[in-house]
Amino acid sequence: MINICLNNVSYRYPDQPNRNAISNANLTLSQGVTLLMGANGAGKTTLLHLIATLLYPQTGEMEYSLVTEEDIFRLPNRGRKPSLMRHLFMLDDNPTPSMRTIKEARKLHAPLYPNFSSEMLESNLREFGIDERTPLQSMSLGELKRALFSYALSLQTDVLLLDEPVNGLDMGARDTARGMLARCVDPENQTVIMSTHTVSDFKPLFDNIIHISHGSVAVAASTTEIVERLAFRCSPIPPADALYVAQETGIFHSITAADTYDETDIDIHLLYQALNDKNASKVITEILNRPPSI
Amino acid sequence: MNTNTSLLATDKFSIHRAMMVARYYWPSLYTVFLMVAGGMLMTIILLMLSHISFVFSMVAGAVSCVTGFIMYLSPLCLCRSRKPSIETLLPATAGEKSAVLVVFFLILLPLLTMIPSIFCSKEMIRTLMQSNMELQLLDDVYQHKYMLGSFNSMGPTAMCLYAVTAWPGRKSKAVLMTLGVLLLLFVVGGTLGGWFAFKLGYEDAINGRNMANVEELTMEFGNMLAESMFYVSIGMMVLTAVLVWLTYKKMLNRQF
Repeated sequence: MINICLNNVSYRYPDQPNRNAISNANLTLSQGVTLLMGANGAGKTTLLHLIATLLYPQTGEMEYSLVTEEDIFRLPNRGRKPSLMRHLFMLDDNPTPSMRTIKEARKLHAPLYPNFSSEMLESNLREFGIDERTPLQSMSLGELKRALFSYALSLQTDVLLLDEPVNGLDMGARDTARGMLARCVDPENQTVIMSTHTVSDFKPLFDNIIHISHGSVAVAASTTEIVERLAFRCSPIPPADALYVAQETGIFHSITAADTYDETDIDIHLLYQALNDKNASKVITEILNRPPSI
Repeated sequence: MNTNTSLLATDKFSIHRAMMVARYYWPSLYTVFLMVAGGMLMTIILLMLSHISFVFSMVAGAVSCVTGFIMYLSPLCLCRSRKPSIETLLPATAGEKSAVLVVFFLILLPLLTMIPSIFCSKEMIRTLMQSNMELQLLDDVYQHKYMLGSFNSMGPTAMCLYAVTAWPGRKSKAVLMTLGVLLLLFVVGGTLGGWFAFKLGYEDAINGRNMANVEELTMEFGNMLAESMFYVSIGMMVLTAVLVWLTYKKMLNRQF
């Protein structure tokens, strides 16, 4: 199991010297599946790249610790050392693999990852109906994404970063991907961070939610914490104490402060809208970031 | 918390892991390997046929030249994407990755291209030589060529490898930088040759020596050329070493 902490991490792209892509991010990443959400250009991919060590922060520090039954080992955060990299994999939004086929990847790339499961790969590919001998270059974007999604899950790394993994997949494939993610990820030991705009497909799987706004981590909370603090309701009349209301086909979808005895189901889409709303975001962010009462 | 990562014993250079990295890169490398090996084989066959007609040796020269260019630009086979995240995240040290590429591009391929010249061309040229002096000159040139001249071919390849590592996916930039090093080699070689020719002629004029003694002049010019080749090769050796170091540093700190 790998624990990851970001301490005051900031990053600025060299070609945009006046704008922080990520500014002063403080974050402890928990095990399980985490949804990373935010508007386009908010800094989601930059954050994933920082976690993957594809970018090094200009200020602040990334901390990686390998937790074993006996001890906790601090892993080097620079130089992409194998002691860390064998536990980490990232699937990019527009992947251009250097391997020709998944069969080749299984033979030549996967052996570098100690937890790789050949059986899991076979079963995932079978579920998606993909032949491992099909050249990746001849695949459509959807097929390529399915093949690499199957492969990435089968590497069984402690940290798996997925940038828009289901973008371009049809509805059936997205359902299959959800089932696959549920089956392949061990939420006790693996950390999966997934940036996606198609949240509804994976909603039941998310253990944590991170919202990024203009390069800042606005919210980082577990879904349990969110439903403990906020209530998501649908009603013909908007509630008087609503923190945020959105009307859709005559029904009012609202967010209110949670009632202790009435836990509701999380509406991620509504939460996303609220967090991007100027007026509502401040109050909701404050409620979600409040330290837990003892 | 334990901060002693050596307990994990995985971050030191490992031959086993380097072999695994080589296996990972092999599908990208083997096309280049086949092209260079094919060019080399064709050159040998053409040289063997050169006793039939001089045309074969001319074609062999052309094929060898093309094979040389393929070798200079061989690192382009690594140019698949501008953001090679899978390769960058490969669980191997930068030392292991760069060692595999350096051994392949700067040792294995140049050795492969040398095979025809070692086995064929010297003997073939020897048959064309008339005097002992010419044979001696040929031996001198070959001695220098094999000892240090190989670095001349490493320089452009090392530049291409560095460019491909520093700016992944930018083939044209890598090609231009490689051609730049080749041009530099030609300019330095041409300038030195011109300078020696001028020096010889000038000294002859001062000393009132007979310019008609072609054999002596050729011998003297050959000696000077061999000496200059030595310095050019030293320069290329330094350039190659610097570029290999920069390639390693880029692999270590590549940013997206």
